[in-house]
Amino acid sequence: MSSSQAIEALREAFTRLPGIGPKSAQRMAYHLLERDRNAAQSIADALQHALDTIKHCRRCNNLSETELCSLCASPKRKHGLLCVVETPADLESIEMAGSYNGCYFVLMGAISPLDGIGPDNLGVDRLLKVIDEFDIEEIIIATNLTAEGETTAEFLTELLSGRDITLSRIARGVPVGGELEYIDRNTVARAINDRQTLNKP
Amino acid sequence: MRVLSQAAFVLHARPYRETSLILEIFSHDHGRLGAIAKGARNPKSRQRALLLPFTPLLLSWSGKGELALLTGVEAVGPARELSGQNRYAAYYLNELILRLLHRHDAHPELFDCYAATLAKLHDDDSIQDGLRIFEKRLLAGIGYAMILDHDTVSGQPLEPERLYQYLPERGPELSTNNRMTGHCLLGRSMLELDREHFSSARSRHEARRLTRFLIDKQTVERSLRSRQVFHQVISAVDLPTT
Ligand SMILES: [Zn+2]
Repeated sequence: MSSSQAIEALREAFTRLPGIGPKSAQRMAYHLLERDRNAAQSIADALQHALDTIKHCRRCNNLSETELCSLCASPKRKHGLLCVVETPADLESIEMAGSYNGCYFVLMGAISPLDGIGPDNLGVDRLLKVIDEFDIEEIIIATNLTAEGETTAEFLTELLSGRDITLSRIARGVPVGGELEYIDRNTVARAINDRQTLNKP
Repeated sequence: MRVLSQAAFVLHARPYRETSLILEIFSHDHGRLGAIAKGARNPKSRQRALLLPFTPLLLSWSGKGELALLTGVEAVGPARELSGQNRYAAYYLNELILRLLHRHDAHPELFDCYAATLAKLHDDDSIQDGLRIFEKRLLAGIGYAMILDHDTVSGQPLEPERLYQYLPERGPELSTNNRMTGHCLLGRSMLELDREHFSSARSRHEARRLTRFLIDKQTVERSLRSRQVFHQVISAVDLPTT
C-alpha cells in the first residue's frame, strides 16, 4: 500500500466516527501523522487494548471488561427490576440522577426502519434470555421519546405484554421548572394524555 | 434564499454534533431538502419535540445548496401519534420519498397526497388502499406513470373481466392463452387502481403486486429497508393493525 493510500484509509476510518465529515477527518489524519505521532501511537494502543478486553456484560449487555459488570454484580441493586435503555450514555444519565436502584438492559440502539435497523440488529434475543434467566418481575421501558425510541417501546410492549411482568414506560411531559406557556404543543399534549391521578374519590 | 412558514414534514432526523440534528424534509413548494437544526437537541430547545416525522409542520429555513439552515418550526394542528402497522406504513412512505424523489424537485400534488395518506393512517385502518394510491401517484410524479385504462397493443379500453399482462416498459396487454409470464392481472384491478377505489380483495392484492413490482424496478440497488425491518418486527410480534 503506498503512503497516500494509507492516509486515505485513515481519513476514511475517521469519517466513520459520528459527526465527523471528510474535512475534519483529513485534519485529524494529518495532525496525528505530521505533528503528534506519540498521540497517534497511544490512540492506536488504547483502541487495540479496548477491543481486546471490552465485551458485553452477560446480563445488561453494556460494555464491560468482566463477564458480569460491576453494576450487575452489585448486591445493592434490585435484581428483579430491569430498565431498558438504548445506549450506555442513557444508562449513565439515569445513574447520575441517582434515584433508580434496579438493573439495566442496554439495547445498543433503537428500531429505525429508514436506517434498516430492526429487532434482529438489537439485543432483543439477549433481553428475552435475561428475562427468563434472572426472574425479572418488572421492566421500565426507558427508550428515548424520539420516533425511533417510541417505535422500539411499542415493539417491546408487544413483545413482552403476554408475560407475567409489570411493564411501564418512562413518563413524558413537562420538564422540572417548566412553564406551560413556554412549552411546545407536542409536549403539552402528551403531558395531558399521561396525567397522573391525585385522588380516587 | 429565505423560505418562511412552508408546509412540510420531517422524513428523517439524525443527531449531528453535540446538540444539533440533520433533517431530511419534504416540503410543499420546494420538494425534498436537507436541513440542519442547530441546537435542536439542546435541553432548552423547543424545536426538538416538534421535529418528529409524520407531524404536519410549518418550517422556515435559509440558504440553499446541500444543507439549509432551519430557522423556525411551528406545529400545525394537534400532536398525534401513529402506532402498530400504520407506523411502519408511514416509514415506508418516507423511504419511498427519500429514495425516489430528487432534492429540490417540487412535487406539490404528491405532497398533498402524502399528507392525506398520513391523515388516513392516523384515522382508520384503510392503510393498504392509501399506500396503493400514494405509490401510483409517486410513480407518476417521477415520470413512470402506470397505464391503467387501455391495452397498449390494441389501444382498446381495458375490459374488467379479462386477464392482462403488465410489461414494465410498456403497460398492459391482453394475455395470450399460453403466455402467463410476467405480471398477470384482471383488467378490473387496474381500472380500480386508476379510479383509486377498490371493490374486492383480489383487486387489492393484484394492485399491490403491480405497484410493488414497479416500485422495486425503481429501487433496484437494494430492497427497501423499512420493508425489511417491518418483516423482522411482524415475525417477532403480532402488531395491531390500527
Ligand atoms: Zn451488566
